Amino acid sequence: MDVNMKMPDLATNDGVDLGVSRWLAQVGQNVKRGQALLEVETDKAVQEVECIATGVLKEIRVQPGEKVPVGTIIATIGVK
Amino acid sequence: MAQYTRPFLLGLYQQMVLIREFEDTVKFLFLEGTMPGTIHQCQGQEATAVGVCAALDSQDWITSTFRGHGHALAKGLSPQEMLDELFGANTGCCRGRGGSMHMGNMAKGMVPGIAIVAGGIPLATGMALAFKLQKKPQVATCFFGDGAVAEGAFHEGVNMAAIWELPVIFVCENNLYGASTHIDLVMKNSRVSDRAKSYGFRGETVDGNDVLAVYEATQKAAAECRAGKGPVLLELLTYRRTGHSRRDPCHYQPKDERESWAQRDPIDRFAEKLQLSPEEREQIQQRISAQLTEAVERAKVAPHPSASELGAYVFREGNQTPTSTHTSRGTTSGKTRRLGIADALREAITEEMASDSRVFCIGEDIGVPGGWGGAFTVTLGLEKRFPDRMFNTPIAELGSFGVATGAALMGMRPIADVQYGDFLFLASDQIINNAAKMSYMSGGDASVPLVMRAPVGATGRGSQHAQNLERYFTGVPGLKVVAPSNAYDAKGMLKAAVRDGNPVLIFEHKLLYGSKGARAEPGAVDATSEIPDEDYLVQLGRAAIRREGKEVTILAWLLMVHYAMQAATEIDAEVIDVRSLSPIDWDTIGTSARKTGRVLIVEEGPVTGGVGAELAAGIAERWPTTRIMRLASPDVPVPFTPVLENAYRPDASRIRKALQELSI
Repeated sequence: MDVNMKMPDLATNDGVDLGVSRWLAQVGQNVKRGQALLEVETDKAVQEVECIATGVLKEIRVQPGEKVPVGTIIATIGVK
Repeated sequence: MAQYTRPFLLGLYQQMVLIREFEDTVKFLFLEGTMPGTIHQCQGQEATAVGVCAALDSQDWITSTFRGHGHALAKGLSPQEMLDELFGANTGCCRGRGGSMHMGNMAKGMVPGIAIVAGGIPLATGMALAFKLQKKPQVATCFFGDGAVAEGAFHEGVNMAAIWELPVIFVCENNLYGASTHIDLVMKNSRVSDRAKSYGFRGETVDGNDVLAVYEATQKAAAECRAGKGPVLLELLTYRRTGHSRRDPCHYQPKDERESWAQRDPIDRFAEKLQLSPEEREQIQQRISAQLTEAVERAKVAPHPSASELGAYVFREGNQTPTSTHTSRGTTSGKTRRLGIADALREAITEEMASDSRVFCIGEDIGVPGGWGGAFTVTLGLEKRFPDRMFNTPIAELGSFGVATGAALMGMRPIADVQYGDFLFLASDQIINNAAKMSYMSGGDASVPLVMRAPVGATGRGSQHAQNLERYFTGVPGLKVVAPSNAYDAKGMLKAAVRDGNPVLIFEHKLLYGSKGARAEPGAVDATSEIPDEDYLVQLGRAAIRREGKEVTILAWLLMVHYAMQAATEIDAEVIDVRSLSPIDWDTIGTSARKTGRVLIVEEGPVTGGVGAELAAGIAERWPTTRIMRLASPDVPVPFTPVLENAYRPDASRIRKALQELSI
């Protein structure tokens, strides 16, 4: 089963697009729920975002430097 | 540990894992944007909720905070009813009216969470007062954070629990931070348990990440409470591993501090103590996680309330059962006595206390032998007849109104008063945030049958013992506000308020009490009535026509009714005693406004934002052809010197002048 991870609603102000600063895991790596998976730049701070499922990081859909609206799918995790 | 069975210990462990998994599940639902609102979570603090609640009996009660998911699960709320609530569903524990911050279930011994940090402390004291009055061996347990300790409600609430030796366990979850502020920045003495000593009871600091230590400390405290030894303050040292709220990245928590507390994680430590293998832990976690996943799927499709149900649960249905109801001043037996308002109120209180053991009085100086019976003699001598039901409080209005609210929540019918209405500002958090909202926030399961009394009016006392407070409370949903102008109404309305089942605030006027002796008021106005011998009620929510007329309608209440009656003699004016300020009786007012086409609203108190403004707007919206005028005090504080005070308060001659202007 694939679990899609979405850009979390971390902005202090509504309607602000959030940027991915960097990914802390690579495609193909095993990941665990709760581990820091990426850093997101909000309108106030850079914040770590935790992985929402345990499995394999199958796809990264938003590259560092890109900004997307809250709710956009940013990664896919394959769960056994 | 040998004294505990393995299933009991495993139960504690599983409860902590349930809380951790629940909070993580909810966190990810929020991160995904699936769930509305905000959340305050308790990852890292699981041992406090589980250890405390495991030591309580099922009939014991807890109050909680905005960080209450753990408390709720530990008190026995199901993950399903909580998830449903978080998704705003009608099947949630508060029918979607409470949400994350007001999680509770009255059937499971948990009052909806109080999101004002120390707001639950006087409330728990009042709940414990109810248990003591009901002679039940129950304990009220009050969860709060270190951030609550600096609020006045903490001091007022714990002090009253101490002086009345009430069965309350005050549980301070000290997680070092109030939002982002470290306790060292806001406390000179950061040992919270030390504070108990200054109020004369026992305090203890416990390792809040050791579930068994918490359990044992709570067991001991509960035993002391049940033995009548009074309250205990437990300070549980713990640490929040997650943000204050959902968007908080915790940048203010130093990394080494976070790491050292991670070493003391309550779940890991207890697993070690129980010698659970990694496989066993994994099994437990997966079982719980799977249950939660199923519950989430159900919650996502749970039915939501419809928009048409918006107004449900604001008020409880009343249970008024008078032996006879008078709609006018007429009587059935014919036997009456002439009484003033103070005497009539005393009679009403005495009768309600005599016929209903749930009724008690709470306030400052209300029943001190040799005292005055409250500031205006209303409760004079009642302590002789009801020695166990007259609670003389410290000068602590926030605390005493919180105590009254808590006792009402537990089925008592308190009558709480302030010496002067001006002091209601101190009590207003408990009145507005707790008493008025509890029914709604609980989805109709909680009720607060609370009567509040407050004297108002400019009477030679300057600016802070003289204001007309009606305006500040008439716009509060969940609160009924009345203002009787004569003794008949005062007695009938107070009795109706006691039996109403909702919070009712009664404003009384100092110049109308008819208080005698040392408490007599210069400039008093005769508001005496013929009071029938038999039981009667004056229905709340109804205005009264005091004088019929065709040319103009005068709307007034309290003292202004009397001045309006004096002014109305020379003109064919209809005088309506509004008397129920919330809700407003639009039927009676509208019938008159349509008849006369002109309305003069007379109010004691500043013109801007007064009750008169609401009356004027309501009439203009409903009957737009009506000519409306307001006569009120100017926008200045109540002055002391008589010449200015007289200029401040509308009187009969100014009402006459206004009537002339309105009739041109």
